[in-house]
Amino acid sequence: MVSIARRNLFQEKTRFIISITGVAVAIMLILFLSGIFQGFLVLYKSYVLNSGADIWVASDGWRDFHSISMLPRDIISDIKKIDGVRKVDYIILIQSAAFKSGDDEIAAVLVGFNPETGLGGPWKIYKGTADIGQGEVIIDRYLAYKYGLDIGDEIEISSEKLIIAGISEETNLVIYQMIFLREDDASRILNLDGIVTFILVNADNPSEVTKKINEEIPGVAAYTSEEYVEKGFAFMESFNPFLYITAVAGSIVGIAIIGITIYTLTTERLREFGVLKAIGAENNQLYKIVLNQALIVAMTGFFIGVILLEISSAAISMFMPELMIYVTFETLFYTLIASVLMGLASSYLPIKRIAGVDPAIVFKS
Amino acid sequence: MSLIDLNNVTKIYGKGKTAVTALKKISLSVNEKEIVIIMGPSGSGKTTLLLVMGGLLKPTMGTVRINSIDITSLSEKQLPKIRKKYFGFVFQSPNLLSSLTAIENVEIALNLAGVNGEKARTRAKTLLEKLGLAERLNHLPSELSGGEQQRVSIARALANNPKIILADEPTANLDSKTGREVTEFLCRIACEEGKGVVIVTHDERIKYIADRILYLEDGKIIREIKTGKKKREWMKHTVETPS
Ligand SMILES: Nc1ncnc2c1ncn2[C@@H]1O[C@H](COP(=O)(O)OP(=O)(O)OP(=O)(O)O)[C@@H](O)[C@H]1O
Ligand SMILES: [Mg+2]
Repeated sequence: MVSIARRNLFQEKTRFIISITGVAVAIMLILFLSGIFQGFLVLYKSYVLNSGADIWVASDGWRDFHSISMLPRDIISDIKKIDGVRKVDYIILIQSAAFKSGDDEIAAVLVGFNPETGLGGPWKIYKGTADIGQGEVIIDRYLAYKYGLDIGDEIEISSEKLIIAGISEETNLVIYQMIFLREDDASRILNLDGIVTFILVNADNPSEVTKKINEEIPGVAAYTSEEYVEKGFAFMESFNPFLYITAVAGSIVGIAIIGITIYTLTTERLREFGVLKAIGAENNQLYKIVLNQALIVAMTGFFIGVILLEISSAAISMFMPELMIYVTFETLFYTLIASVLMGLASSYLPIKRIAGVDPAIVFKS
Repeated sequence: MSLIDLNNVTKIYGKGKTAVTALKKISLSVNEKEIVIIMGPSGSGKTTLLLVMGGLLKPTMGTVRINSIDITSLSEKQLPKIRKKYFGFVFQSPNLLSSLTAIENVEIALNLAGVNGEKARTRAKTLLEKLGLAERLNHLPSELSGGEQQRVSIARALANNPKIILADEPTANLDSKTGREVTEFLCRIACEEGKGVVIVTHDERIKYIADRILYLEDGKIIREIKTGKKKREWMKHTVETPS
């Protein structure tokens, strides 16, 4: 079949390009926002999921990643006695710690861990070592980049000097970055004698052991790593309304742009649709032309939007490396579906116009 | 054999005080290979008659039969199929689709009837060549002269091999010489292929191509002239490709 839809659209290239661009930008904005949000989550979760622990034990009442957990270190020996537990260690994780580098006051997420077991330590070393000794520290790569720090440089936490011995990657929580030191150093510097924040456990059957810990040890709340990230970052869901609003607003913009394009294209050519009717076109065949037009705009807009997203992500990673734009296949798929729906929705009025065309008008000149 | 039969067809536009009776009890038949010219003053109901014949307008009273199917009783959904199968329309202005080339304008009629691809292309090409447009196949309507556009629309009307061609002042927008050439061509091809032609025109000098001329006034046929002899003479002569 001769594609009237394509011909009609391409006949006025400027209009076609303008509407495609409009749709593409709308799609890009939807994907972009959701990408930033997803990127946050990926960065947040990657530390926990790569901590090497199967189970995270917090103090009872721990709510999310921003709340405080405090446990007596003695519990470790109790947990060790539980069947199925292979390895137990602890970390000291302080959400908003600060350190000094020269005159800079730098906020960071501080983690004290045990380099012997590595549980809860940095999981990807960019430079230097993860096996740090006393008085040594590992800092996030982005933090190092931002403040011009490198191996051998000195930083200061609560008036104690520490030497940078390693630089870690993917330990960037967007707003804060992580720094790692030995748990004994952390304990001393922060005056947390005998107190830890989380106990990390390796077990053969994590969900069963988690259950046992919760049953047998009072005052704690144990989670598998997956449960921990779910609960720990559930607060991110409070951003969902913003995402929905953007998605809805973006879709409305998309529908409006496609709608105006297809509507003017249709009304300009009502007579031509009348001709087609007169020479025997059935309504469905005409509706197909309109839908085709709308879907061509929607799909082209979608693909160009994805390309724009790629370009802007590349630009962002150059100028704001701490941000991560992470668009899942799921998001892409739903946005594609949304584009198709935009096309369908915007065809409604034009189709109604065509349905009302009387082919007899063609006989009037 | 008659292709189309109108029996007591009356068409009233509107209602009450503003009602206009455009056709009054018209009965008429068109046979195979027959060329019928309809003449009459403006407002006499010529276009209305074509619309009723072509299933584009329902008469207020009376029946229209095509191959003994009463098309006045068909639904809006069934009519397009009838139009595709039995009728080829030529309008006063060519009414080509502006974004399609000459050949595509003909192809689209075939596509609508379910003929696609190479088959449609070949048929469209053959028709346009017959109409002297071999060099204009890939031109857009805006790149064609009025006469050329009208010939494309004739090719479109003939594309699905309809039984009847209905043409409403097809040459009104052309100079009289080109107009006559286009009309002659339409009728010759139609006649050779055994189709019936009903053509509305004001051009008295084209009468020689008709078998019958019907004069319409106030929605009634007031006169009918048979002119078959002149037509047979004309059919013997070959006509140049219109320019
Ligand atoms: N849609 C309509 N509604 C109301 N009246 C109409 C309509 N169409 C045509 N008429 C009237 O019906 C009558 C016949 O009109 P029609 O168009 O058939 O005439 P015509 O012979 O084709 O005229 P012309 O030579 O000017 O094309 C006229 O009086 C016209 O005003
Ligand atoms: Mg008329």
